[in-house]
Amino acid sequence: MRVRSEQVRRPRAVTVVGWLFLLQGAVLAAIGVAGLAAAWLVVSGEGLRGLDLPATAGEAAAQALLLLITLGLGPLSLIVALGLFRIRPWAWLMAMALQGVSLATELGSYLIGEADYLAMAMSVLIVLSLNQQEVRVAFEPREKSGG
Amino acid sequence: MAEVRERQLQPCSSDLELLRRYEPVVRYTRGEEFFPTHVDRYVEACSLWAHRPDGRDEPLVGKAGLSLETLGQTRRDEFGAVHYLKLIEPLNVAELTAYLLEQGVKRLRGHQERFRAELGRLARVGYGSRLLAAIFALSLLLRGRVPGETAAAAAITFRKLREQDDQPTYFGRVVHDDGWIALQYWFFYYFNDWRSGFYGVNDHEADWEMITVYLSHEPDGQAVPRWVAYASHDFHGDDLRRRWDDSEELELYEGHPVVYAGAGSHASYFRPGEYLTEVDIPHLALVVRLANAVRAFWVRTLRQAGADAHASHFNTFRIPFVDYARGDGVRIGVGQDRPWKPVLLEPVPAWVSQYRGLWGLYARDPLSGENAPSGPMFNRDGSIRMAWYDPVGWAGLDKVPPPAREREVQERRSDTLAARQIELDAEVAAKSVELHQLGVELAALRGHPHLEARYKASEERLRRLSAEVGQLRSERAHGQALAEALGERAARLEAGVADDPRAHIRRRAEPATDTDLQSSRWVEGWAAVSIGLMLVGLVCLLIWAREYLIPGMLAMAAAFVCIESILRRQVARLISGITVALAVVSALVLVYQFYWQIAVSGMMAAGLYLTWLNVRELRR
Repeated sequence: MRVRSEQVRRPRAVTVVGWLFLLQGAVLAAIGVAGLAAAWLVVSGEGLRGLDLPATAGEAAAQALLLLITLGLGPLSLIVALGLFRIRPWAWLMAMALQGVSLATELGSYLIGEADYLAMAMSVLIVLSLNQQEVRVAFEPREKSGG
Repeated sequence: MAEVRERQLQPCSSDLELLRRYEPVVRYTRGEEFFPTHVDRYVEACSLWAHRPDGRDEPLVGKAGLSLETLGQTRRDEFGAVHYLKLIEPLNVAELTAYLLEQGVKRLRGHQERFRAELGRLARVGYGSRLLAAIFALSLLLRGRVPGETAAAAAITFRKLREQDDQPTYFGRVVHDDGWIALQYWFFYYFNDWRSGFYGVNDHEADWEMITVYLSHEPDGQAVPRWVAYASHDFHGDDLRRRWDDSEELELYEGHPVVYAGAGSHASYFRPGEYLTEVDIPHLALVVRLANAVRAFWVRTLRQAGADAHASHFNTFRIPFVDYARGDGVRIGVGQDRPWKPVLLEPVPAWVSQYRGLWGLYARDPLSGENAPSGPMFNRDGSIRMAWYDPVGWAGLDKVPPPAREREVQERRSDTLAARQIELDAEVAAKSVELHQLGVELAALRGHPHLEARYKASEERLRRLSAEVGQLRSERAHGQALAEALGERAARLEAGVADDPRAHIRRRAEPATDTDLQSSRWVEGWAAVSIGLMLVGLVCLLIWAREYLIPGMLAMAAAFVCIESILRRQVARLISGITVALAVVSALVLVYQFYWQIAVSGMMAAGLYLTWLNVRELRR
């Protein structure tokens, strides 16, 4: 059976990336909760002054989908952060997958002239940190020693 | 137990006895068509031709007139002419049909002697190598090659010969050189059908292969086997050689080395298995260098894992081929299916020493893979083979003293070293005195302006002498370390601890492991059709959706990679690979957008770091 050894030393880069994911998770969760509150206010008819309401049903659906994704990504980032702190191989893969999605989105935005260079730079740094040789070794599944 | 590793030999054995005593056991792969044979009938069935520099081919001796004797006659010719033998005449339709029918029946019946590739070569490598393999296959249509039905014709001819004389033959040669006795075993095959029979690199008429067993002269007159070297594709020198007592690397059968011959290629291997070999493409040398530089930067400078962690053992810019040396077919040698008939090449016959041409068809292949080889003594260009004129150096054994001389050589080296150390001691002492005197002289000269010229000259002499003394001291220190190492090794050998038998090997052929060969039929099928499908898809895009060519190609490539990853169960690797690729592209975008800011920030950071270092030093 493949298990994680608790004795594996956590590389410093992983700690940094873990904190970044924790921060990202917290920010996304806060944005999600704020969005949810705004949506509730809109739906309940109380409204908010200065709030841009969706003009069409399609726009409303897109915003709702974005809200759902943000709400999903927040806890996911928190889970990934915890997995990274505990050196779990699945956390490494999920972190890479999340950054892949993030980079693809950022490159798409760059191509249509709405680049977010800070987010792009952060993602590049996170990927290069996760792909370092010692980090990869730390996250490789190990065989349980006998006995 | 079958293995006898310490067989010894009584003195005064004849060369033939020696050859027989250590003649190899050769194990072939099931499906092999050609086995080592005598050259006489082959030559009698051949005609001799000359290829002229202007492209003409001219017959020199017709089929009826050629024999080993006439082949050995000296022939003069112009520069650039290539002499070659030609065995195969094109098959007529009836012969070819009969042969193909026979092969088809064998396939249908699941004939025991039939070769099955199992996991194909393309399933063992990535897309880059597969694409190059496709280009290589297409290039055969353009460059010279042995015609398609030649292998069939050679097989038919060889079968006819076997009906007359079925005993496998080797040509033996014994060379006494520098304390070693090299027993060379040369094997002649009618045909190399690696490409047409076993999906390999090339086909060519005639094939010469060789192995060498090295014996050492012992003080009591005995000769003991110590090393063995097998010729194999692009391996050279030390990498060809295995120690006789290295039971993990060298298999012995009743004191005879066991050779596993590659199917069709007849290259020799020490262990049974399937060997993924690579063929370099000369025109891609620049691309390979560039890719290696990028990989080195990625792995060493950026300390990234992707380039080496996921790289296959094989270079993307080389074409992969599998040499099947399974050893599950015919076995030749002592105690095997068929015994050897030895032929001693002593005195060296004229067909060996005088005929410098090719032993089969000259296919005009610029890469040489499809041209027939020369005889045992010569390279294709007519120069003498190293294996012939220096059989000891050929396997890198020229630097290894025979065991009987080992101690003497070691002692002599230690003595030479000790003598040099004494010399160095004396030299250092003398020059140190001179150095001291110069130092004193310089001290005395200081403060005397009228002696400035003398001061400068002495200063220059002192500088040179000081450097010289430093060099001598360094040599003495290194000599001391070497003497200690020699002493340690002498003690080790005295205690009966031999050197590592594999310390000399830098690169060795490794058969594919069971894990390498675990792959589903789906993966194999996909590997076989993917490159072809990609080309078809490209053509479809060009015809019907030219305006979407680039996005279409990208989507197609992505789809192909995804399918392959799913089939190979490497989705995790795919995800990380894509993410890293996106990160690299994003990094390039950032550098492009902010190169000035990045340069300024870098310099600022360097300046701040240096300031911090200096301030920290001040505070200490």
